[in-house]
Amino acid sequence: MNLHQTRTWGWLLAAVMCLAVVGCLPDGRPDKTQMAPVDYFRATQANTITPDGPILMSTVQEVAPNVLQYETAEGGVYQVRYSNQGEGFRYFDVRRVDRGTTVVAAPAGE
Amino acid sequence: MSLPDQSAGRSGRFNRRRFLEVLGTVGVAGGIGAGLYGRAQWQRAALAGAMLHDAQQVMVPREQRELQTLPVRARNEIRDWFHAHCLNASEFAYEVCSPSFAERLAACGTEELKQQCVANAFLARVVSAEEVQERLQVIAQELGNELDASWRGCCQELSLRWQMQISGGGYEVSLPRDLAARLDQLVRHSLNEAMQTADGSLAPSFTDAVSSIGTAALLAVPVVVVIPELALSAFFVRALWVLVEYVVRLVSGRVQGLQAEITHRVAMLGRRLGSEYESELRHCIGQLHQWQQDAVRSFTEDYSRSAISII
Repeated sequence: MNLHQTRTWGWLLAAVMCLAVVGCLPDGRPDKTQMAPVDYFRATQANTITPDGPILMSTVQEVAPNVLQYETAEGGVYQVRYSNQGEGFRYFDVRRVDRGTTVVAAPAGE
Repeated sequence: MSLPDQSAGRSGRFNRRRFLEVLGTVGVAGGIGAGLYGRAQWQRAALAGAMLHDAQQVMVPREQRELQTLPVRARNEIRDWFHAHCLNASEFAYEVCSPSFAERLAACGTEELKQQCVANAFLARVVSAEEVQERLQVIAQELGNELDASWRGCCQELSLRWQMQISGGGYEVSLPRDLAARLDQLVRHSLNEAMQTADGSLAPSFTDAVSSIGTAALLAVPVVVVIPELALSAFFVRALWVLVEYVVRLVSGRVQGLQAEITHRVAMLGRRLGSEYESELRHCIGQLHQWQQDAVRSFTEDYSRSAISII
């Protein structure tokens, strides 16, 4: 094997190792200070399954200060309050708004 | 010679006549008494029957409405409430996959400590048995107050209907002013008896401490007590710990896979808890309705006995 081939293999090996390291890194949490709460919600809750099915991200919107609204695959429309907790948010006081029933408010002690 | 025989015969006829007179008097008196008693019983049965008929017209539609709507509302409230836990489960996934959490885990000396660390983070971030118990109590309180209000309305209507019934009959004894309190007393007696039958460790003072009969009935009766302090359904406690163990095993995975798996499991737990709670409430509310029916029947029988005398 000549020098050129050795270098080529070396670069390939380094690239593979870099990819392996990146692949093993934990997924970075989006920085909530750099994005709107709606965008943070969309970025972090895309894989969330609720008792009413997955959330339709295109329906997420902020309807009041610290209140987000979203729809689910089964047709429910929900509003949820959020508050800061560490690097992310804490969600509480979910209310379904399309059925007309509400959960008795019990905000988390923040 | 014949004189002694004549007097003996006269004496015998006199005794027989006397005997027959007494017998006849007793028989007539007994017959009159039996007749009066029978008439009174018949009238009492008729009055109690009429009052019960009136009561059924008021109570049955109310009972059907409560059984159809309240358990379903409770199920939906539980499921809606679990949405927040599913959202927080996603945040939990990010937390346990972060470098800072990895450092915390590395600082744990043994495998058991690591598992406990993850479990504690899950119970603090996502859902705990205590939170569920509190939520069930809040829902039971809400529904219990509705049941009580409905029962008070029912008692008021019964009072009006019965007043018309007894006024028409001209009975001497009037209905109690607070009919609802009288009936509540009878229902609470049945509730206490059921509590003592189900578990001798739960004293009647438990239901006395809960002023709402509806709430006491929903909280106290058929929920399987696994951990007495929590009083949660057996399936929920088992399911929660299975979920925690599953999460501990998954922690080494990537965030996205972890999010989907955990939230899916939490969502399933929420759906199942909602369904179980719905069926438990149906049983509770049905039992409460039975006690209310028994209270009304007992009251009508007592009232008819006091309103209609034998003479």
